[in-house]
Amino acid sequence: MDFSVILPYAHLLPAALKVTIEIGIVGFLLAVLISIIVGSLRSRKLPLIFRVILSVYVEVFRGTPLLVQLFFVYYGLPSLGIKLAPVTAAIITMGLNSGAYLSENVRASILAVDKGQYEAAHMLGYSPLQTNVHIVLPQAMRIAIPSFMNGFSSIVKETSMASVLPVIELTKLGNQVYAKTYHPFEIYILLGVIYFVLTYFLTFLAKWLERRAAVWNQ
Amino acid sequence: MEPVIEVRNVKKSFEGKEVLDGVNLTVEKGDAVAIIGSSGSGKSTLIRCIAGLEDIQSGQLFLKGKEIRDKNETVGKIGMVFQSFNLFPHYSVEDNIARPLITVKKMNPEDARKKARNLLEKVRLSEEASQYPSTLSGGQKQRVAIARALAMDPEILAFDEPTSSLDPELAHEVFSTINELAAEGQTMLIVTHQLNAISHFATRVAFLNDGKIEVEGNCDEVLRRPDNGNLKSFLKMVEFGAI
Repeated sequence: MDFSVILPYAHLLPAALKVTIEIGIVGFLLAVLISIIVGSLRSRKLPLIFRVILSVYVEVFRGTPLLVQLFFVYYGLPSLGIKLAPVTAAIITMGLNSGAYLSENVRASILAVDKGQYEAAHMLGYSPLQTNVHIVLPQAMRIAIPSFMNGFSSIVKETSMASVLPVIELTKLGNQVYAKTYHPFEIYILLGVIYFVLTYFLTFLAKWLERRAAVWNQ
Repeated sequence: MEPVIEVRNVKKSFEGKEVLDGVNLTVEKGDAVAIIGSSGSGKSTLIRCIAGLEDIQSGQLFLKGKEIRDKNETVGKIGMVFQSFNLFPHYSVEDNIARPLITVKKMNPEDARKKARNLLEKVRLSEEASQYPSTLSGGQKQRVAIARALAMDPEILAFDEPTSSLDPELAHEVFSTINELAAEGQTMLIVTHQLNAISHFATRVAFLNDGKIEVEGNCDEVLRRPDNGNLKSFLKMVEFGAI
């Protein structure tokens, strides 16, 4: 075992880490946005056409492999004239994929908000949109925090799949260093440790968020 | 005097079962009308129909002489107090009252908070202003709910079994607030099981049985000198603690 073989490449790590974190964070924020919109819409009675579109989106992204989705968005979409930079393609795919999963959590969390909250808001004169924004979503988000944080750490780990695209994130860097040094054991151990530290940090963030939100816990 | 609420021959059924079977009721300004009756008599359904939380199948509802055709027409004009409080758990006590004023009535935040604090003083909860509802007792929660409903300056306050989920001493707290409101001439409609509390505030009592108002009159007529058989047996059951 000789970790020193990696040292000559250490200067490449910050850039790769930055790409991983960028895809992870922006992808997650996109997923949160999508999941709130899709989850809110799917928790209500909608015209059939919207229901079908939204459920096709959710089922397709949940029912196909992320890797295939990545290939499709980056290599497939140019046939339709949509050419995306590799990082953008990774962010959009991650966002759409996790957004589909998280939207189901958001929907369930919205349905978990007591019916009396809607009635109270209605009697006070809140419009349906105001009720959602001011009363229901804040409570649903509180319920959904744990699944959001799970989703976040999943996305951070899944960014490794972006290594199949021409983008140098952590895993791709690891593969490249491996190709030059032939020290897979040291390289992939280190890679694992870096991903672990990233997701472990998120676990702490999640606990802190839950504690803060527990202030008004019923 | 113009009635605040007028219910004319209202019918309502759930899945074929008639719950309200031609109800007529008038609430004048300054009236505090108590609706009593056994479980399943349609009391809550009646008040929810009046509040616009349930559709009616036939009949008419009037609010200050104007027919209510759309359930949104009662919004902000009927202040509803629910059995399960329905406070907003993510808002502090003060925000529960102030935020609706800011969001719905577009009141400026300073005025809204001032109004909220005045109302909290009225229900004697000034010290709890910054707490969250989860830290309050049931009686305190219900008084916040009353303050929240009052904040919208409704034509009438409607109470749907406001003390059913409370211990007797906490129910007493809520009823003393209701008594004070009655003394100020607040128009109210109250569905309740708590017959001994009624005589302190109610100007009139209506006995609902099988979806119909069978007896209506002042407290003395209805509670102490009943001549209707169903009412007599209902009062007996309450007396023996069966309801």
